[in-house]
Amino acid sequence: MTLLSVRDLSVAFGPVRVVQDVSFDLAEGEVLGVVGESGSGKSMTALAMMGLLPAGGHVTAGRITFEGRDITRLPEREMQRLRGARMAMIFQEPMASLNPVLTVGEQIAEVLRHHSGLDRRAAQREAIGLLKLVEIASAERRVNEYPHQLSGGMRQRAMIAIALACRPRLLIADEPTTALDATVQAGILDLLRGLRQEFGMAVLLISHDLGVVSEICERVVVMYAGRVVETGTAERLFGRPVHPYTRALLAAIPRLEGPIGPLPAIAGVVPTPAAFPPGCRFAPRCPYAVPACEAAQPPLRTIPGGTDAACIRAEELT
Amino acid sequence: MLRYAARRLLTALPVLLIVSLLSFGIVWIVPGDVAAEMAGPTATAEELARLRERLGLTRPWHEQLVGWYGALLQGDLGESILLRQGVGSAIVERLPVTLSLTFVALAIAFVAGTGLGTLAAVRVGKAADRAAMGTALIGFSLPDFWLGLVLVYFFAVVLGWLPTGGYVPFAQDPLGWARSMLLPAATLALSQMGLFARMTRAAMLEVLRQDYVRTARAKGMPGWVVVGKHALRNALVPVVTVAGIACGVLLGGAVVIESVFSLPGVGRLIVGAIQRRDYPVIQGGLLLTATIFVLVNLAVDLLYALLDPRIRHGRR
Amino acid sequence: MAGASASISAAGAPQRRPPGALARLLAHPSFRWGLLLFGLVALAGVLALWLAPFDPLRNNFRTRLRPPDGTFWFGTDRFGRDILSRTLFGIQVSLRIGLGVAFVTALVGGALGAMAGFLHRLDGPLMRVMDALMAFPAVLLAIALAAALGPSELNVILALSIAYVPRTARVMRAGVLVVREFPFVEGARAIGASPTRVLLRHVLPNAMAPLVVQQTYVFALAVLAEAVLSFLGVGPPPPTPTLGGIISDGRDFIQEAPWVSLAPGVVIAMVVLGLNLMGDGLRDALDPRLRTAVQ
Repeated sequence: MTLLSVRDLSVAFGPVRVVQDVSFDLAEGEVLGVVGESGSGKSMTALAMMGLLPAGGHVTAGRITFEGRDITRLPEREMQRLRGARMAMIFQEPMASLNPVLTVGEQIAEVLRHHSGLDRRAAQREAIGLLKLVEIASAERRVNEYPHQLSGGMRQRAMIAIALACRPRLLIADEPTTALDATVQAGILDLLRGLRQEFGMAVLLISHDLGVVSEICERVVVMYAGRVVETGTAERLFGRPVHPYTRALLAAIPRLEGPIGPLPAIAGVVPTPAAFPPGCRFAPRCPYAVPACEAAQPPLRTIPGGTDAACIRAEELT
Repeated sequence: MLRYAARRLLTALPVLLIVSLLSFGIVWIVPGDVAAEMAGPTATAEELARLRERLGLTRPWHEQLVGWYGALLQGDLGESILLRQGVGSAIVERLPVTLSLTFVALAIAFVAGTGLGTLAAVRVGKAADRAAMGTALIGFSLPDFWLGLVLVYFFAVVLGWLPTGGYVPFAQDPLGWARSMLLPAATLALSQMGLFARMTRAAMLEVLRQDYVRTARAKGMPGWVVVGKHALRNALVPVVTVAGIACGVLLGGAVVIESVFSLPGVGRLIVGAIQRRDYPVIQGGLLLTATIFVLVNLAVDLLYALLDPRIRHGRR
Repeated sequence: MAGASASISAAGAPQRRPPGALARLLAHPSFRWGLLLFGLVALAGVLALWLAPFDPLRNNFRTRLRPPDGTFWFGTDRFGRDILSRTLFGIQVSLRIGLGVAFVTALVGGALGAMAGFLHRLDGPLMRVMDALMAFPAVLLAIALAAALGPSELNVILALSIAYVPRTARVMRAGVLVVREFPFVEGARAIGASPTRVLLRHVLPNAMAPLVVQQTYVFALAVLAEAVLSFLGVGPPPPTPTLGGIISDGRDFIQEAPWVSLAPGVVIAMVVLGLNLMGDGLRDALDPRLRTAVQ
């Protein structure tokens, strides 16, 4: 059953289009990864889904259907009823994302009081339960502490507790482990994986790190410069990547085994939205680009025996 | 928290010491003979000599200084020449009036100022922002004593709604007290309201950009909870620190406002003493207001720590 | 989306004065309105001798407490003196005192602040004295000092300067503390420039912008405070017409002659509002980093 369906979504700040014609689906309980370098438009897509685009940003075209309703046309009131209850989001910087002057418990309990109508005491009790759920030790004490008294990993666990308070059907996790140490990262990913199984919620995991995505996602969307360049099951995408950009990203994953050499990074940077090239947006950085690539935007199409990719040379290259 | 309070108290001590020294020293900048100036041109030589004796001017300055501190340590601020009363008791008698005025004004300024500032920040760049900031600017540009007269003219003389002045003790008649406080406190509050509004707006604009405000919205909190709880609590931290300074400005402003509204407070006592050159009262009044200022700021710093848990836990 | 809305900002690189500061200043709406308000009043004050229809000091008991009319535009006071003429000459006094205080505090406060910011050993003691001075409500301290020094225009300037000097010193000190950490200052020290040279050549010019802004506000505060002093009778001695003094004259006749106090109050408000607006404009034009800090 489809929980979320994004169709031809475009997001713009004034005349500058930062997300263009993005489409993907997410089934109940599925884990979908959205991958790309910073500036690829993946966070803006997520914020558009939450109705939390920064000032000046608008959905200019397309639909986002969540539980059967197009939420791009939902009044703010209705969106507030969804946010934190049916769909929740966690962010990259747990320290900056938690309110420094409120206790962790209050920040969790508030959601429960607001959405589930619990009274103060019940909400507090439930907050302790949630802290235990996200495996924070001595939850009874931590519940009265402030964010600065917690470690980085614990803060992100607290953020997850906030997000899960009302058992949402969809959890959007925007770079949830990027700001954390490698060992802590693994713990958070384990936790997310476990919780997702326990609650059967769908997860949209945004990351620039294919390694993280390959660990927990069933399907993957690769974005570049505001567009989807490749999408498919994790198995196929990692096994037989088609788009040169995906391949470059895969090559950039540092491997622990083997000698430590220079990291094979992709030359150049993502162009700014105001300077997107007219044809394939990856063409200027693509080692396989031919003049035809710069003529028109390549459509996303199904490659036989592979993924869906937006590359006119897909067949020759695989 | 206790150690923080103790450390803060220690830094206040040298300031209090200098404050008392300056209060003592004000007599020494009077050009010529203090006693002659106080007694007036009609005084006889004998009267002058008696006055000098009472003021302790016959002793060398260091003995006077030791005497000043010795008396201070016993809580003795000296004797008013004109009131024939201890300076301390004269001030204590009038303190409730001044404190009522100052704190009612502070409350008005804080509530109205933070309200205006928040409104301006939420509607930044819009008409409401410009209107709020215009009000704030006019607030601290108007001469308050003049505004007091204008308000008295309208509300007391023309409309007859409120008394032209005078003080009603709270214990005697709470409603009368409120009526007697309304105009003077509102007048006094105006300039500080403007400053609070500006500070709140600046702090709020900063806070509204923070990630935790986005988190609050992502939790589905309605707009007024996001602004009034998540953002305002953080924005108030820097605003509260200036509340102590505002308190000092208000105490100073009370001096002239008490005169305009005929309120029998410390301010009027000091102004009267200044006009009649009653130096012991001037010295005591200066010392007391400055001490109140230092203590209030001490309290504000502790309050600041309560508002911001990071400071409470000694992390900053 | 930094790329979409990024503007070129000079905040990172310290400069003597940002290029085009004057142009930016004159284009700033606050500054323009402030200049207009302040300029109008100041011009009227400067031209008082030619503009005033009557002698501001001459009593005329046949024209006591006249309401405003064609002859006496702002009415007359209890001695039959023309309020308009007195107000015009009062402006002169207010501006002289305000300007005087702004200058004296800039010199003394600037020097004290620079010393505190640059000489580590002087910092503590100097700033404690400034803290102690700030502990007295400025207006109250000025009243007491003016009364002790005796009534004269010069003493009013002196009293107000003592009351307001800590603010200037604090602003200057803060400016110096920021600037001395800039790489080019450390560089100058590293290549062996003498402390005095570093202070005069590198630190001060860069710490000037906040000082100029602050002094505009001090000017405004001094005009307000001078009015209070005159209102309470410790300003420049009578018969000098002062704005606060005229308001005080009208106070006893607030029921039958409310016009006496009206005009000088409006004029004070115009001057102070004008200066505050100019200060805001200066703050935005000279130093964008100061935007969030209020006074």
